[in-house]
Amino acid sequence: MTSQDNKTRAYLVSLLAGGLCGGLAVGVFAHRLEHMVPAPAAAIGATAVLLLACAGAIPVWRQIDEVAREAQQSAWYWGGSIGSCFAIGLAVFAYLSPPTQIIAGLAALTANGAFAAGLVACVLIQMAAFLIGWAIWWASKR
Amino acid sequence: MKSKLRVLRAERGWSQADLAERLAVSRQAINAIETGKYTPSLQLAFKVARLFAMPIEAIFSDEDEP
Repeated sequence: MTSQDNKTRAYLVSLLAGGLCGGLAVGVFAHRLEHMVPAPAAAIGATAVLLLACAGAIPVWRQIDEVAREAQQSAWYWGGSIGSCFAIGLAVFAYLSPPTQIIAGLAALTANGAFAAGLVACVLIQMAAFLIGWAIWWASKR
Repeated sequence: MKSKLRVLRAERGWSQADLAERLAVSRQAINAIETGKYTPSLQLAFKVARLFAMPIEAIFSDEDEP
């Protein structure tokens, strides 16, 4: 492993940690000031944090080689697509299930909260499928 | 895609990491090319050809090629 690889890894870890902390800060801020901060402002704040994280990933994209890029592209294509299928399946299940079958915490959500939880669930499922796709791609090239 | 990368590298006594460093790619990339599981881009193929001072077709060949 080269020193450049180590630098890229360290940068990625700090980017991930920064993104998580930033996202957490926006979430806590929006929750604490729920009645003071208008929803569009909180939404813009959250989007800005994520866009910053995306901008931070540009140097990493330029640094990695073509094989690593293809792994990312393939994992997003297949992981994102297959993850979407599971997300839709979950949406159908959530819509058709009697309330007793849904996790108690989710049943207590407001309509807005349930909608937001559904959106986040879609993203999380796609990300999980991306990680699986990425691991499979690299395993197939060994 | 078949390649003579492993042979050429061995002739020079280079490890996969050495070659990866010279081509500015990861060791995993070299391994994937050597095992024929990844087809390099034209840009990378030219880079390899320049490094070994050989024409591309002397290093890489199509699977169907006799």
